Amino acid sequence: MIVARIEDKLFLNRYKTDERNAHLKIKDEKICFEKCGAHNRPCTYVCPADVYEWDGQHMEVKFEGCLECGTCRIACPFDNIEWEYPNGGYGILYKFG
Amino acid sequence: MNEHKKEFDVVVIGAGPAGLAAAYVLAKAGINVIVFEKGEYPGSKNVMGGVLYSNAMEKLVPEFYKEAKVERNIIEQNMWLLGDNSLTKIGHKNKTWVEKPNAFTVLRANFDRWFASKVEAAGALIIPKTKVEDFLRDGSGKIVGVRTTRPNGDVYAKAVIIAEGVNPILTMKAGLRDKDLKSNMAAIAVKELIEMPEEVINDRFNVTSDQGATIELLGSWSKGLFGLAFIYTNRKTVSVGCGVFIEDIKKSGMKPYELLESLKNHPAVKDLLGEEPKVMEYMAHLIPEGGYHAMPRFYDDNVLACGDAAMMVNSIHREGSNYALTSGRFAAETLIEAFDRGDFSKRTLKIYEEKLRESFIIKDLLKYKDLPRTLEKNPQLVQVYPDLVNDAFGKFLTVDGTSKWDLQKEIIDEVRRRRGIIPMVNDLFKLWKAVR
Repeated sequence: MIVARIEDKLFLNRYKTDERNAHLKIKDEKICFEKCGAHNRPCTYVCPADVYEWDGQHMEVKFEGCLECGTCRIACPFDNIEWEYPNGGYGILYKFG
Repeated sequence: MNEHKKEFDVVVIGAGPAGLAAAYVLAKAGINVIVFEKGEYPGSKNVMGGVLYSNAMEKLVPEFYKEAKVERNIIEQNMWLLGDNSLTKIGHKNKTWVEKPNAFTVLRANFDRWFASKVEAAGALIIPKTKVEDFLRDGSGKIVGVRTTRPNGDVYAKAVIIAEGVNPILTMKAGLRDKDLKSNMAAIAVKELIEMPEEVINDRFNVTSDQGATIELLGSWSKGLFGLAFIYTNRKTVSVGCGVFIEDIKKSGMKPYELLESLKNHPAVKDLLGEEPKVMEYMAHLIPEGGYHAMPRFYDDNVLACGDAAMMVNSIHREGSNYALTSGRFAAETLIEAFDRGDFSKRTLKIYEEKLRESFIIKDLLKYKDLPRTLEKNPQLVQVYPDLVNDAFGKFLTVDGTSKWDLQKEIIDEVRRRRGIIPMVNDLFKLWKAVR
């Protein structure tokens, strides 16, 4: 099975990124490191835009590609994601929807 | 400097179908209404599978489809059960839908923008690029307005309608919902819009240019997860998507878009989409699937919740936008009554809940109130049966020298091996109980 790269999918979309304001943040990285490892860190695979990437030490949050669905917010076993919508006018801008 | 206090009759949070429907009805009644939308324009953050039932929209704008941005009139609806290499189809085509449209496919960025222009023409003010962050409250804690992200962005109103969508951020802040959604109360759906020439669509789906078909797909694409996929025909594009419970995908370790690729790689779907489908947009959205038991309170003093924010979705019938439109209309009608009485307290706003309970919305959600749990506890309903049906048909229709007696025995043995006759009867009974 050919799985198209997520980067290619996200590249199709239009975003207006608010570079100075990350709307997604990890509240406490220690929880990802110490506690969530046992759960395989669900945010790293349930997110349809691969926003979260665990590099072995840290959680990288690529909020620029966020589709604002809220899956990570609900899936995080420790409620460890500070989740809000981007500021007005920013974020995903669907052309078709 | 003395800051002028901004005051409207009603503030609506969110310019999706629920918020726009509410604003439209209020504005037409001469009520001073303002709608805040965080997207660049109404519809720019909105996603759904793409089927809009016409009845709810007709009640707002009669014959809306003659002017609205709709794609195709759905005259054929199909259910496909996928095995690994096989496919069993159930379909219904209805010519009466040509004259009396039942449902249209829509692309939300287009449809919502059109509807918003209609709402503005009726006299409502729509302010995009603006996020509502919190509520303004009076000394006794009652909601008296909203705080937005704009500078000096406080707006006061007699009532606030929450139509924020599936993530109940403000619904919780308003105190209408105590707990957030859990991972078994929402499905994550991903969708792609695929370019396809009009004639190719007409040809492959056996329809004419204005008319369209829908396909829902159960079975092997979901890799054993409970999920529903869909393929909808638009005018010059096709919407392809799938949804699974967050709880299930969390357990599986898979990614939502891997399931979508699995769907697109199924031989039957490939036949329909062509070898290298050209994707134009990739979308994701949550679907509130908690059902009746997961609904919030619908109203409190000076505040009402509509649409997805109030868990108003019946995914078995893929109804959601029509619930949103209808609940938005009910909320507006309730507030019109509140203006007549000059009372925006719970005493008057309970009319909203009465309207919901008398309507198909709560009646249908009550009917299916146990379905989410039945499906959650019985994943075999989608894991085993589509495959079993395909194998049974496959065997039944293959002539290879096996006698029909032996064939029947083989099929029954297969059922026994994979599920067992009694568990199967049990499954069907549970399913029947959940949907009857």
